Amino acid sequence: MMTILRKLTLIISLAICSFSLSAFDFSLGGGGSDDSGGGANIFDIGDMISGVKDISRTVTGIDEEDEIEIGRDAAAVLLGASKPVNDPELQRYVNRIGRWVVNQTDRAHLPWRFAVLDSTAVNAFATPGGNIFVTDGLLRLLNSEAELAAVLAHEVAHVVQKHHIKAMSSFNTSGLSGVIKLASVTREGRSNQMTSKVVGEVKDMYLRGLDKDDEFEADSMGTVIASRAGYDPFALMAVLQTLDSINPENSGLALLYKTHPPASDRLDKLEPVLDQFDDAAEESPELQKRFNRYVRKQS
Amino acid sequence: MKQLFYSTLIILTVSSSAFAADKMGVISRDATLYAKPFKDADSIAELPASTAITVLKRKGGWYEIKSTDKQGWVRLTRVRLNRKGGASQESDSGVGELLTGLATGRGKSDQDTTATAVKGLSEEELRNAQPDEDALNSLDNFAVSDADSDNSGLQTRQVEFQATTKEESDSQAPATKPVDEEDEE
Repeated sequence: MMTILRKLTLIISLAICSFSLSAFDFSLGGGGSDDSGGGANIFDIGDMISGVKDISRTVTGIDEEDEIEIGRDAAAVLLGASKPVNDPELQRYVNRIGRWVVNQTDRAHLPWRFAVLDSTAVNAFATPGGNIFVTDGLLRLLNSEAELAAVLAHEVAHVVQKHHIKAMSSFNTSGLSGVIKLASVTREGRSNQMTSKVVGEVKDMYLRGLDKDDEFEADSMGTVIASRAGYDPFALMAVLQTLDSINPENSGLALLYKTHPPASDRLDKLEPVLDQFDDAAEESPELQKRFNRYVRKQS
Repeated sequence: MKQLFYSTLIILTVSSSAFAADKMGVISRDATLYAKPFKDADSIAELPASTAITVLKRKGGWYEIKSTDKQGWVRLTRVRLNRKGGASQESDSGVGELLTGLATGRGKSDQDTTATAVKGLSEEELRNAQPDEDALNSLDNFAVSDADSDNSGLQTRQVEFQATTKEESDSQAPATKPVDEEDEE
């Protein structure tokens, strides 16, 4: 068993070293010629707000402060299960991309925090109020900055749509008011230990996952958000294709698949969203360069 | 020199096979094979679901593919790539282990290679997690303010969210002055 594993690792490592350029270019597609000329356009805020309002299943009735408070509790719990990777350059890079992505939504004002967590599981998490986590296991599967941005954008969409608040409310015996009460409990006692009730409900939510339709919505919104940011609209799809190409029995995917629909279902749902895009965005080679530098540690 | 030749040879051999394996796939749902990567291009054939294909390259939302005697373009969304490592005999070593080589420069993370492969954020670890406020506060160290957000020449686009209806809107936002903040390293 061990020997086979080692051999497999070696072969894969070798193969990756040598074919990474061609293979990854392949999945990036397009070819990446640069005609962007360094320009960036200011997005239209009014337009985005109306865009967000297009989707009606938004949770209302929770103060942003409470949302942020619950989100901090949730983030502390997740961080109890895995620490941020000790790589300041990488963490800052992910935050820069994340910030650029959230600027394409109408909730850019939230206290957004992004982090890569030192976990070999393949997963990403968001908490209310704007904490976004990507595991190192998932990061290592990604081929480009566009794919990273797409994963972040999927999580950002959950926050924009308050999917977690919705999920917690539907299981709290007092519904949304119960969740709001949890927020006030922890706000009063933040310096002390979080009450076990808050911790328990947060854990239950992440172990149970969100509503499946909210996952599909986050795929679709995430694709739009990332493409607004100028990234390849097909990048999230590429990530899902990668996930789909891994044996779903793999232990690294266990929690992901316990809490998410199968990648193939998500791909099917994403197809109509992608039909509006014919071409991948022309991305500057600069993006691949810095992805290689910060994520792959190649100079 | 000779050594270099042989190692190059080995790498080339390994890479070509791995590369080929990576690009095999199937048509997921009935798809039209087009002569060019456009919807109004001539259609070459209708490929039924489960047709085995080789993906040659990607252009935007299209894959150029080969299937037995035919070659052309299909929508990216109609393709599923084959499972890596063979569907049947893949060992459950955790994806992290399988992917160790992916981030070439970062080396191997320090996980144990034995049975319990998943480190951090497995179901069990989440169940047993104790809230870590210090780690939470440490996230502030890497937060990026609006001014530092990095677009690196990315061109924003106006795209609407889709609810149930499909809309066609992919217009370019009007060009404005680039926001080109230099990021500090």
